[in-house]
Amino acid sequence: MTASLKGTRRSKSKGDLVLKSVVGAAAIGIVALLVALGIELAYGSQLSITTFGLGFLTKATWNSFTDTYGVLGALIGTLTASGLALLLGLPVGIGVAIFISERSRGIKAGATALGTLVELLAAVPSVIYGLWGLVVLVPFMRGYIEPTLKNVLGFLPIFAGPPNGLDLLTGGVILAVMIIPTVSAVSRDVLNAVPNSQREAMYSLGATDWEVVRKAVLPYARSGIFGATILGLGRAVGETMAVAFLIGNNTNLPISLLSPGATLTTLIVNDFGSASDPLSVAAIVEVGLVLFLLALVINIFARTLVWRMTRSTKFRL
Amino acid sequence: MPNPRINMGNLRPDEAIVGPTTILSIVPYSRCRLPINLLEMRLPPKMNFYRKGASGTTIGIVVVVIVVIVAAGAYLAFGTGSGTTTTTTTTTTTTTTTTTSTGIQAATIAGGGGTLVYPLMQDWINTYSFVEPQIQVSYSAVGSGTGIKDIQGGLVNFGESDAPLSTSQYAGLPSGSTLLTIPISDSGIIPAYNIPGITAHLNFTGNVLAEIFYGTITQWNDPRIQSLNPGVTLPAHAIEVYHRSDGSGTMYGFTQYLSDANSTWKAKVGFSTGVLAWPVGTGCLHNAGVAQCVSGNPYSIAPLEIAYEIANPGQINYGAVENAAGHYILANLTNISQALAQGVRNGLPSTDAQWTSFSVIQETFNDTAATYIYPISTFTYALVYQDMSASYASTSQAQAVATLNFLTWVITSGQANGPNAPTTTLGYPPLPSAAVALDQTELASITYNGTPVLSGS
Repeated sequence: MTASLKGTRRSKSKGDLVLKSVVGAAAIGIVALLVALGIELAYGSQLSITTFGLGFLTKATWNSFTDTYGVLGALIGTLTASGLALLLGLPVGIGVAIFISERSRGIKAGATALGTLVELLAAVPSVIYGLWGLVVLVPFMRGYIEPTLKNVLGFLPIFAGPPNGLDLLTGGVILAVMIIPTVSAVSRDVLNAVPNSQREAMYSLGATDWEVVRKAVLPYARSGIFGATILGLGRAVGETMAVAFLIGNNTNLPISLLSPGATLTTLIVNDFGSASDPLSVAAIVEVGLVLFLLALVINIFARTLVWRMTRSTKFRL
Repeated sequence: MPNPRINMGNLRPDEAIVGPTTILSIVPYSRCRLPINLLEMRLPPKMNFYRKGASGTTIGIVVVVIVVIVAAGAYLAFGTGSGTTTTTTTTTTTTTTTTTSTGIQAATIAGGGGTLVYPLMQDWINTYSFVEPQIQVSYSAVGSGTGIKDIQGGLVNFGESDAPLSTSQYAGLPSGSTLLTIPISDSGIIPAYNIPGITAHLNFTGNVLAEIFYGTITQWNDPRIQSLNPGVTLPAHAIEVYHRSDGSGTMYGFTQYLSDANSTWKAKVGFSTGVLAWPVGTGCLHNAGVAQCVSGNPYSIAPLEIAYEIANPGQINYGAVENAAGHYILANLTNISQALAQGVRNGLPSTDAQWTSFSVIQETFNDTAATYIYPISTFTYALVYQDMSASYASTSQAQAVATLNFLTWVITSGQANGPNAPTTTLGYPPLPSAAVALDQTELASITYNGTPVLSGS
């Protein structure tokens, strides 16, 4: 029996109309704001685009004396630090989420409290991470972690150079710490939404805990976890102050993970206060434009991947 | 509770599957379809409101478009790309006629500029508020570049910069305007280092410093450094170079000195108040970051402001630099002041073009007659328009009087140098009297509606 409202009159409620207007306006407004942001960035960087052209993206120098600017080093720094952050932070974040969601009812409350504590990490301001990193993390990396890495894996080119403490590796580590709460919070919700029928079915087949997680839960929550990854990556790409303290701020091409680098965000924060002639201001706005487009590209790429991953399956969160 | 919208045929992604867990077969579980119930029942599809007229979404779009058009229109009509119109900081004077015995009308003035003088400026503002309580001064340490942009746009009553304006910055000033550059304070830049086991003050020459920061000298026991320090055994360890990551007046002065000392540095790196292309080394954020980097990392060297060392005595070791007369000078407040007095022995520049190339470091670099001056000494400057009544200055009469009164106080009483004076405790050498006299001449030339501001009040 199917009911159909074909031919019925529309509701005459004015309240509904107002609601739809306001909500529609808000939604369109956000999109309009984004577009306006992009246009403003493009407009402000005109001078730099016409002066440098594509060389802006292929040179690695930031020299306000000779007025030559190029972001290649910063671009590589952003991608490296964010990639490292995902590599280190994703397993931990998802691990926390799995721990919380897979516990039995008995200690679930305790596990949830643990999860809340992990998510408190997200409440710490980014500058505090930078200061803490400068005073605690850097001596630790430089005194223990990096010499150990060099002793064991020093033959790899990514660990070449003296252990500096203030380098891409430390930047990646602090970013990993900062994205753990984001990834863990979203993944926890995703994993909790996996229906128990999936787990029960797997258990009844005689699977172990780990096999249940690996074969029944995680594949079901695949796209949700991917969404969490993209959120974490977005935060890592946009993070400024913590990275500015710890990454070494050298705009030349980094030769290894242990060399001081720079990211697009630290480039902006370091130069904006002192730039006054039009070309350097335009160059900084162009860095902002590059960052904006990078974030856009990453998001579009991620959405396409999610779409491709889930269009063939019936299960999607 | 079973969801009535399930049917076996096509499970929609937003439908949760609830029901008896029946094991079917050994198919892969990620593709398993569990049988729930076979009822085929659909709720009616999305209700279509067949009504003529605008829907809510359409109205929303129209509202947003109107708002965008109005905003764009207002922006085009009232503002240009770089805000040359003033908005907030130039508040009008209070209408009450409260005056003190000095007879200066109450006013609120704002300044903005570099961070080098910020600690001293804070103290000045605080002390001045007791001298002239009816005048409120505020200062934003946003960086020299932003300070110059602010005064170009008339957003502040006085700007502050760690270096005189460059040609392109002069070109950015409103047409027909004259901007005066007035030294109000100064600084010296010291080579701070941290070598375990060495407490002596090492000697450096400008050339050696340039080679260290360029990367040509990489070891502490390089003969070029060792030969300058015969009494000290330097360790065979790599030099770790640190510098500021952001633009600053401190780095401007230091790299200007390196450019004078070493032609490779001048050609390849140069000097600037902005971010520099340091060939080697790690950048640390702000002076505090640089100090932390040096004290936390052995075998490191970095250029640091003398103010930091004086405010935190004994925590940072620093070296002596050779001046033109051949003496190795360990920086202190006295020899920096003397260097500045030497720097203005030919007076201050009078034209914009002369200001773009003015520098105490360059004036004293080849000055062999001054035996005990410290070679890396710089001024920091206040920037005010000569005609404060002009529209681009965005200053009222009372604000002009207040600004000049404040600046006069700064270059006279603010430079007191007793043992407990802020200049001593915060580490800013007092202005030499020759510079003060030149400053007062400049300030006397500032006019409002044709009459000089200072003598008129």
